[in-house]
Amino acid sequence: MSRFLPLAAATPLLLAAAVAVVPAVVVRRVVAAAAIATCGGIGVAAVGSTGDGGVLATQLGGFPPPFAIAMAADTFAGLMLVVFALVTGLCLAFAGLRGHDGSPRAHAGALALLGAAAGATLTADLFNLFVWIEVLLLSSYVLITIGGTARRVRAGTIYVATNLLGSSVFLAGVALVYATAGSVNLGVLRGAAAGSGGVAIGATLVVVALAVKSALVPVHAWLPRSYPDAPTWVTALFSGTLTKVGIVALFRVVTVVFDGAAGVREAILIVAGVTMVVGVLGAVGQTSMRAILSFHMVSQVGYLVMALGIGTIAGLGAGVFFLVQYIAVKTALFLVAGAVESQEGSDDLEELGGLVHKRPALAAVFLISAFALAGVPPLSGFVAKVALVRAAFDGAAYGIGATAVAVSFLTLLSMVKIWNAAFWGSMPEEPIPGEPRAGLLVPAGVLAAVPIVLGLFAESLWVVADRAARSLADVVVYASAVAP
Amino acid sequence: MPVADGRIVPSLLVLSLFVAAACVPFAARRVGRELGYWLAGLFVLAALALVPAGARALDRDPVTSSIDWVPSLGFSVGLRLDALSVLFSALVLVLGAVIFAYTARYLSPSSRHGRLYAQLTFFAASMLGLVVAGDAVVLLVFWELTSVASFLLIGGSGGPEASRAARRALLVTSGGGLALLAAVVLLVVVVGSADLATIVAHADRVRASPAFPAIAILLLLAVATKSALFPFHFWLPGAMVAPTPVSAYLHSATMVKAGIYLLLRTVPLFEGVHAWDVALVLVGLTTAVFGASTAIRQYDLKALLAYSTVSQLGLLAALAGVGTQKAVLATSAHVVAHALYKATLFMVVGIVEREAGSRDIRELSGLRRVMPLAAVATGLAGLSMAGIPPLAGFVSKEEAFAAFIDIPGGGWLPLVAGVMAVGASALTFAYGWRIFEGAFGGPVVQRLYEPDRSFLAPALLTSAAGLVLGLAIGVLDPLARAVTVEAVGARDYHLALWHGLTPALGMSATTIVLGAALVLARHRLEGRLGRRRPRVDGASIFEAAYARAVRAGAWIGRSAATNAPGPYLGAVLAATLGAAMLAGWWWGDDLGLGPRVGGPARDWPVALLLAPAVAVVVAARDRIAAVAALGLVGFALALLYALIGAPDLAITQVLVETLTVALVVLVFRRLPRRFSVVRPARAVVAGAIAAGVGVLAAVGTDALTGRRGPSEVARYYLRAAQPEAGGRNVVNTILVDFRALDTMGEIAVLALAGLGAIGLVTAVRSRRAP
Repeated sequence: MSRFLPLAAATPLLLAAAVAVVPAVVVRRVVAAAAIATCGGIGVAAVGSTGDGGVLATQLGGFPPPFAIAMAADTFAGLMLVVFALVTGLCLAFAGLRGHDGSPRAHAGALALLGAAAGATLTADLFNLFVWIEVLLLSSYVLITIGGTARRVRAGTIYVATNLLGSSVFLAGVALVYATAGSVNLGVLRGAAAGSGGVAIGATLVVVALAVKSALVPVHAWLPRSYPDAPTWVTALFSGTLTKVGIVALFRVVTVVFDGAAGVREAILIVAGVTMVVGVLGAVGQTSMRAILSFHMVSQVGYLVMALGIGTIAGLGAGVFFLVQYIAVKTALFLVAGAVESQEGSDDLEELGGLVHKRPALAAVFLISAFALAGVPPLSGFVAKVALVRAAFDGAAYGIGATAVAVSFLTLLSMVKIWNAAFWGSMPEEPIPGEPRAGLLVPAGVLAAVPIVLGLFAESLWVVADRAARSLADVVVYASAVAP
Repeated sequence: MPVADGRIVPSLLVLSLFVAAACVPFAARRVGRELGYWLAGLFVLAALALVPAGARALDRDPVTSSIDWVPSLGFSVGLRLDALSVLFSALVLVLGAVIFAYTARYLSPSSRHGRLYAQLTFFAASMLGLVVAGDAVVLLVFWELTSVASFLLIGGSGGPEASRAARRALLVTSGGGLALLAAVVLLVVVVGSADLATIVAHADRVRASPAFPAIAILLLLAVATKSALFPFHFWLPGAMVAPTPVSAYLHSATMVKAGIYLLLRTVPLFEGVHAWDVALVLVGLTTAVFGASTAIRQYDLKALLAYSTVSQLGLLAALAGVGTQKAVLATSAHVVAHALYKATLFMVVGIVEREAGSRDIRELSGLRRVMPLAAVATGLAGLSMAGIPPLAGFVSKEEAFAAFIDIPGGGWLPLVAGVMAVGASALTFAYGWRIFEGAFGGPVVQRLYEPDRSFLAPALLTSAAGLVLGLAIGVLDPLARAVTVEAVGARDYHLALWHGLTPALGMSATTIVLGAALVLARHRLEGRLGRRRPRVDGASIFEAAYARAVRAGAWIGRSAATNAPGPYLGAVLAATLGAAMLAGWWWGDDLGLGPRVGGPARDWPVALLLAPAVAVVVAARDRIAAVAALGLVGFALALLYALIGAPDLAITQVLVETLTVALVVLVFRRLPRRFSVVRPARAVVAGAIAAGVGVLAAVGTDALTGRRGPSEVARYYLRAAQPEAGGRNVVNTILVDFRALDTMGEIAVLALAGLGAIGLVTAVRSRRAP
């Protein structure tokens, strides 16, 4: 099984090259589906075969460890592959239904993004991680500028400039880690920061760079600046994959290299708290659906990083549970925003109103997803929030637990702001002619079912999340699989 | 087998109400507003289904059931039907039936009303779940669901004022819900279980925990927001924009009593905690007096009833907070009495509004002559509210007085409580008169007729129930006493219409005398009170805070509004600098590295070349000059590569630099020759960050690199290049063999860059073409 791991990254990447030159959109869709299925299938298989707490690992090119590039999948990585594949599939389906996948760059970019996300999730090599992050950056640039309007190019410029600088910091960090530890293999680097201050300083730069990628405060502003300007399905795709790769890498690097150092966890908790608060306040102040949702991404990343800062199995498990359900919820919300925009001609709250009468099904999907985001029971967001707060209180991290609770109040406030203005409210004077298409709702509807199912039947996901957390925390098993 | 011993009944009931809510919209398409009667029938059946469980609860053998939800987290859907749950379930189901029967006539016959019925049924299901929950997390789930149902029911009636009121209601009650969440999690952490019975059984451990003050404050917040206690009361009058059945059911009889229910549920936790008694008596009775004195100034009958509810909830909260045997008994009785008379009054106001077209007492007059039956219902309910014997309201209020003057711990509290309770009740008497006199007294001004009997029947039923219950209070006694046994473990005190010549009887008499005096002096008082506007208004404070939060958010959002890349890049560099300095301070003492290895540095000549080139890049005002200097930096690096023995790297670097300079110059032809001038302040900040990062890079490189010999990996590459990869150029074997995956990734980067560029170029060209 472990021999097939590289295929999760290579298949989408190679097929991305193929679809870039295929003229027929139908063929492109079929090829994309095949690539996504391969990646997701490998994820499912990885989750299935790591149930005993084991780690699948392979040394690329058959060179001996720890000299070859190693790829490894534990339950955490497998779960992330599945989620990334699902989100990519749904977003491409949405783009197809809206007829926005006419350009070959749509499929090529999305597949390259998926391949890079899979590669970054699986790799056990810091420099290789840097390469995947570069691929992510370029594929997302292709996607963000689809259509090539001035607005999108401007957003793309800020996006690329900031992230390229982040990548440079990453590269400097990797260089310093190699200079001090003599290796970039995560198996060799296990706990290296505890043994050498030099490695710790180098790894700190890597963490800062990953914070840029994940849009943690104070290096968050590029995200709410650039995401709302991308095509909707692209924003949804980014929300579910791109930013989350940063988080996945952050989880891996911090758990393996720093091995749960208390000081690092405290610093992370402070950043997490500030990120939550700044993100949610920013969301409250915005006036369009997508701008609100984009700022929320910042806030929710704070919740995820909070799990890392708590650092216990319960905390990490809550974080993984939060991450999986949140990706579904957020993607659904962005797709609703996209449906609103395509049908009403705008997602600006000033120009919307009365949608609950006009589009009751869309309203229902939005309401469920919005309440899930705010953690209203019995939806999945509630289970995630309670699990996180409980892990915080159990770990005596009262401040961050209380912050998380307070921030979810502001989250609800911003969701009610959207609901009151767009779904209740009065209809605008002149209804803007839209293109009503029931099929638009299907992907969002599927995603809206997720928080209900994952809320009522939370145990099934929790079992996997708990296993994922144990695999993240058990760095000894991971390291000995990667560099035996 | 749970089916056999009836344990399945509570969960089945809750579930079936949720299923009913889901089916309602479809049923409403067929039967329209008549659906109310069907639902009323369903609720009666549900109430009957609870009778066996109720009988068991009286025998102190509560029906319990538990279904796993998230066993790994210790969440299970535990339900428990003890006497307290039976009391509140009966309230939810019986009043639900009455309200649904009323709704069937309140709504217009023309529309389907599927949404309203569905949301009301959904609310009832959630409320039933709340009061039968045996698990703290389940209670929290249903607690929040009732808030959501209330939000939708308030705001769904349309209009911006309605949606603002709904927002206030949701945010206030959900804020309290979050406080409850934190309290529940703390309780679970302290006790190790979410089972309510277990938590209550470990009251000692909870009281001894350092988290106890936090738990108490959080619970108080949850109660105060849900049950509209001062200063969180303001959402309730706002919620009166909802249709009358909603106001009668959610916002007076059931949902707002959830806080009272929670207080009764947690009585054992606060046994002997005097501060808790003081806090709730003061908050509750302040609310009671404030609510009553505001109610008496209202002209809108619904607003009057809303403030009256606020006032009564305050009284109930104070009682439930005291938590003695007498207090719990009085709370149980008053919850029922209040639900009966307040539902009656709301229903009558709804009828009056439908028939007379107004609910303002300045426009209504003489209705007693044209609507005698409505007048009878109002009169009975008003007498019960005012606490006149022998109605239910008299009994429960007198029991409340008895409980207040018996507060344990003594001191000033019983006296203050007694005075405030009597004061609030006297005001209640007065506004009860105001309702009746305002709408039903005076001369006839409108030609109206009594509405259809079916519209009136529910109100007549509840008002008559208030009279019957007062006379036969013994019917309620076994259940109320079972509640006190569960809460305080004693059952020697009884509910009774006549306890003899007690101090409480004197307080009742005082109330009536004072109330009557207020009524007599009403015209003089009205002139004085009417002019005094309340200085603070919760709703406008809330709206101001909301607007302030939005403004603060917009200010924070400005960081993500600019189109200039500078601030975004500056943030990254500043964060890097900060984190690296922190890391250096943290770990710098012990880097764990050896001394510098190898001979003297050979890169000084390169550094000497680099420094002026960088200085020119920074200082240049001319774009071309800056690019040229930047190119020089690149060539200097190429020189470095050549010096340390990497000629192919040097060649690559020279190529890249040449191309870059050429391309950038091509682009710059279209831009102004000179850079735009920067504000000095910005230049200082940017300069400081740049200098910091430069120093950091230099210090980092000096301290962390060149401190070890060749790494194990490097030695392996040198050793294995020939035998394993068949190449003598080690760099090449690394690129295409040892780390081929990196190269594949970099090729993908190039290809994607090309793809993006082609896309942009074609997009621009196609826009120019037409």
